[in-house]
Amino acid sequence: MLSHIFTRLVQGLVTLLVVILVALALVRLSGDPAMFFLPSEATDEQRAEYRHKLHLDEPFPIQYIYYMANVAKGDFGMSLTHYEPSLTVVLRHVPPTLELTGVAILIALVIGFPIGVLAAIKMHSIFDYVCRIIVVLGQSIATFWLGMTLIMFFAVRLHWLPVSGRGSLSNIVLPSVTLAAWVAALIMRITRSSVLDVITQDYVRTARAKGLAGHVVLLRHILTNAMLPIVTVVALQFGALLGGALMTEIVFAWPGIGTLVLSSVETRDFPVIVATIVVVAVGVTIVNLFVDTLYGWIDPRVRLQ
Amino acid sequence: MKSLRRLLEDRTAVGGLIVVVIFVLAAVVAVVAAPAPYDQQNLPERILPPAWIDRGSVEHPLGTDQLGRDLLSRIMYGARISLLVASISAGVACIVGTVLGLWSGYFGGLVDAVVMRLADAQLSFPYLLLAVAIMSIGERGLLKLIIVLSLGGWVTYARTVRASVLVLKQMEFVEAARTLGATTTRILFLHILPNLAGSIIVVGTFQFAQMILTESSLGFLGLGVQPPTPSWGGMLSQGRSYFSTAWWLVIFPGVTIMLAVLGTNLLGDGLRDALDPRLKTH
Repeated sequence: MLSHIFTRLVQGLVTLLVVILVALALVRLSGDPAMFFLPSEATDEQRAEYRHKLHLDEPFPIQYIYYMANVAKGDFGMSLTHYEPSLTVVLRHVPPTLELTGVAILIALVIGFPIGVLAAIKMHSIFDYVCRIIVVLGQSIATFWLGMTLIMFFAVRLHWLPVSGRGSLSNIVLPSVTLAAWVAALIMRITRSSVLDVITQDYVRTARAKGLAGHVVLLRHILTNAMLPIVTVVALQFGALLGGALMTEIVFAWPGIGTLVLSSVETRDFPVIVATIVVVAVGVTIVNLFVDTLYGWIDPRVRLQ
Repeated sequence: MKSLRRLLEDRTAVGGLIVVVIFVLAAVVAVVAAPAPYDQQNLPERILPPAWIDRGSVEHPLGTDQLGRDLLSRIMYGARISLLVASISAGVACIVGTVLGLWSGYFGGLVDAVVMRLADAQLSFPYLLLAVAIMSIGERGLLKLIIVLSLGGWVTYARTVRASVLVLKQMEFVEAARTLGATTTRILFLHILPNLAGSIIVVGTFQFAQMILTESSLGFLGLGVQPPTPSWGGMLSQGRSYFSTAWWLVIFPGVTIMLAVLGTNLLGDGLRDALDPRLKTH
């Protein structure tokens, strides 16, 4: 079990190193910091000295090491548009994103999990068809388009819910439902196939043959075994979920990472863009590690290794 | 072919196939069949509703946008761009991913370790964020878009191919070929690769759908194909400001994206079921 965690840790670190490498490449490609950060009256000598201070005259691997040290300290440079360090700006936008993502996952679980289970148990029933339709649709609809359409319908035409922004409970309804559509499709698909896999196993047949009541079989045997792959897959898709959250936030002007990325792209605030990538990478790595450890602990086959 | 017949028996898959064919046809004939050139501005006729609503005209079946350009034509031309970009990107990703997967699976070793670590690293990260960052730094451009999209796609190919190769290389026909003196290249391309064709096609179909979505998302953010070239995502972004009065500017491009992706996904599902019946079917 410990070796399992160790492997995952190493993998996470590799991911981080690769992302930081890409981040550095992007930073270097985005232009000459000596032009960005120094006032226009600076002389050429001052610019050369500035470049030397930032290690820009050294070979790339050396720059990478310096950059990693800075990242470890949390220093991503000052934001070009906000008058504060890039990391502060990014971290300020993280809680709204977590809030939106969390609520969306919750909604998707509450809706998706029961339907997925029912679709698997009662094949070819209404649940099965609804499940399959939602699965296919949920993965085909552009999240940002769904968001816009929902705004149009529920906010503009019906005035039931606010158009955008974050604040009261009603603000979170539309964005989270929009994001939940995609997640629910994923959860339904995985739940259904996972439960189907489990149902055909011999131990389920044995449990039924023993005379156990249907719901006991369901809870104790089917669901517990089906849970693992579901949790794993959903956690592994966390990265894709963040991508969807990005677009949703932009459509709803939700003050999270997505909106930050868009405004940084528009204002060419490269330090913030790069800081966002690294912060997200760290977050995703932590989530993956957590889920892997949890998986290793829950699954006795791994725990007893 | 057995698989083809099995595919054609699956009604949803055939539906998907028809939708995809319609899109391809629309893209191909857009130059001649579209009601108007996509960039023909006609300011007196701006923001006309679709033909079946009053003030609309049959000349512009789906209405016009804020510059008087015909919406149907822009959607058809947008199909050219989306399909072109998605297929080229899927193709590049396919080649890169398949080659890496073949190498990883067959030879293992350092290349395998490195490639798989890279793949895992990329998979866990939200690709859209990376795509946005890369596209926003430096100049925009079609080539860059294709490279960025391909970067997003190679991983699935590599992993699928690698998994299959690991199984296939143990099989007897490979051993037989080796005994008969076949070179490694010959084994890889003449014996192993043909058996991968099925999974590659299936992965390719789903990748294609994914790339249409990613391209529209990037277009919506202004990071994809640049105007005046019409792209579905770009049209959505522009139409957004007019949504409350001119709903057709948002609904029609959005539905188009949905249909294109939906059709491709259904086709992919059907292909997967048809090409490998040993998979547990629902």
